[in-house]
Amino acid sequence: MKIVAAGTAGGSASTAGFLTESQVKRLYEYWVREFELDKPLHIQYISFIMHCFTLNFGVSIRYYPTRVTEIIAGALPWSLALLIPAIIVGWFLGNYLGALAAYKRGIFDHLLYPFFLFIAQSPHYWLALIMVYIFSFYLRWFPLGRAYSPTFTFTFTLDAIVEVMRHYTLPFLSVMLPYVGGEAIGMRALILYEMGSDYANYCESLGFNKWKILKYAFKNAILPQVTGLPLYFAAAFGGQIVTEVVFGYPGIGSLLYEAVLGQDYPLIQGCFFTIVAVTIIGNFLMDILYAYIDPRIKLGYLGEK
Amino acid sequence: MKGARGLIAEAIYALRSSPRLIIGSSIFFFYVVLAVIGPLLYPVDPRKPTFEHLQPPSLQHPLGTDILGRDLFAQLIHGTYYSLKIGFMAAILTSILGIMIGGVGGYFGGVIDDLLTLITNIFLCVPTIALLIILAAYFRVRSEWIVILLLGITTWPSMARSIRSQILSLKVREFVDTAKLCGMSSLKILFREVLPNMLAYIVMYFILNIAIAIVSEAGLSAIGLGPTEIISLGMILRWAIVWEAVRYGAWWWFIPPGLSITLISLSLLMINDALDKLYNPRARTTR
Repeated sequence: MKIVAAGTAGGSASTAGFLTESQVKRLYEYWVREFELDKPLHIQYISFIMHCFTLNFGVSIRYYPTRVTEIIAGALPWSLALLIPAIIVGWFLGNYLGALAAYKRGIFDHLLYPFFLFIAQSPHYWLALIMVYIFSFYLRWFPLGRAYSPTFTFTFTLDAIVEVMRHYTLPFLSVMLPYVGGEAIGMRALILYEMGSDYANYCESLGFNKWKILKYAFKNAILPQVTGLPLYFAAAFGGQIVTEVVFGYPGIGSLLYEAVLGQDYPLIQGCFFTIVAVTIIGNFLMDILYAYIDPRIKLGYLGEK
Repeated sequence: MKGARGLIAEAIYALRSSPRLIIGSSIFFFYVVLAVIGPLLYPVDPRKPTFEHLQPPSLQHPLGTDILGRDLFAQLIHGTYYSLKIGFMAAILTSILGIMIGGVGGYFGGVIDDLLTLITNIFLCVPTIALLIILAAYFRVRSEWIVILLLGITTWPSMARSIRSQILSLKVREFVDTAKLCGMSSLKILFREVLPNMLAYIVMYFILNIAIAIVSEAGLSAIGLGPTEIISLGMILRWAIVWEAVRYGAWWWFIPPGLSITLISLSLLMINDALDKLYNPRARTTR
């Protein structure tokens, strides 16, 4: 995939209508050299791989003199600020609600479970549209999307924080809610299973408080939920790309979209590399987390040596 | 092998024992019927602009009109048809790729397996939609078949992984040894003996793949990189986003297509889940 991305780089960079022919030619030659288009494909590819190690993706075509690394450094914090809280809050909220639904059963469960199923399956950006409609159009609580100017710089003043929060809430909810649904469904099934197992029955016959049994069940059920996290991480990040584009949120997703539409190949490579890198680093961190939560995993690794 | 009558009896038993299957399949069939018979019963051109802009639902336009005065119910019918078609075709392609890659890797093992697992894992790490965006942007004009191809080659990894692990447990069973003793070739054992044993599993994954493909196509279309020549459910959402339906308060424009995407994928998921309970006695009892 990187070969394709690296190989077809450029081509459209040479359209500047208001210059004379010789100027265009000189500019064209300069750009061809600048973006290394004069070298054969495999050399371009090798240099691309080498540059990946130094995080040097060259200069963006669309925002010409700016370096790709700088543009990405500006966008990545926005993306992570959306993704990480959404995953953390969504995970806790989803697991809590799922456990509660399994514990309470009855009408509570009957209302919540179809709701979980529904939001887990609905596309992020569609939920986003509905929420914009309800909260921005109907209730007028939040602004109608697309509100950050590219020059907006974050400062720690109260106004700026309020402004950011106002724009942040809806994208955040639309990334988080489907995730809450997915986690809750999983947790509900696991708790139902645990509550029917032998130790839960035994505790019940000993006359334990039901909340206490739920706590035991929760601890046992949490493991598979942590195992599922890395898969969710990739899915949530993927879904976020679309949400960012819909909301005009200035993160990596919007950047990738702009780059793709503008055929800005250095920027595409940079964004793609960043997305993959974030996903892999996220998975790696979660594997470590997993070893902390379940000591048996750590023992297993140490025991092998 | 059971006869047709046995299959029907089995199907009736399945439907009676699982309300989830009934709900799921009736929602799904509702949409299939809507897509197939809809254009005959409601022959309105979904692309024809009229002067009735942004009309809320009425008797003349059951789902209202969009900003160009196009009938949204007609768009929904066509969109459902193409979304289902793309989902179905992409799921076939995904399943073939998944079975081939997972099956061959799992059955033969060794270097082939290592290589195929490596490729699968690399694909699994990359968010599918990012790959889809980049690949789709290479085509200025995207026919539905190009989109089907793209969806097929980006969504196979999770299926390949599951198929591989199933194969690993099946290939050590006695009937495989028997087949080997009979002198069957490896490929023949794989496709004639091992794969038919996991048919139920493959069918379930196929159903899941349809849902995944429909949702992915909608996401791709929603940011403007879907098929360029047809109307899919995602395209309607795309137009609603581009022309800022929310700003006009035109809820009839963006709610029905998104709801349809959600309900179709939800119904497929319910069918998948019900089948899982049917085929897997352990899941049946724990409920």
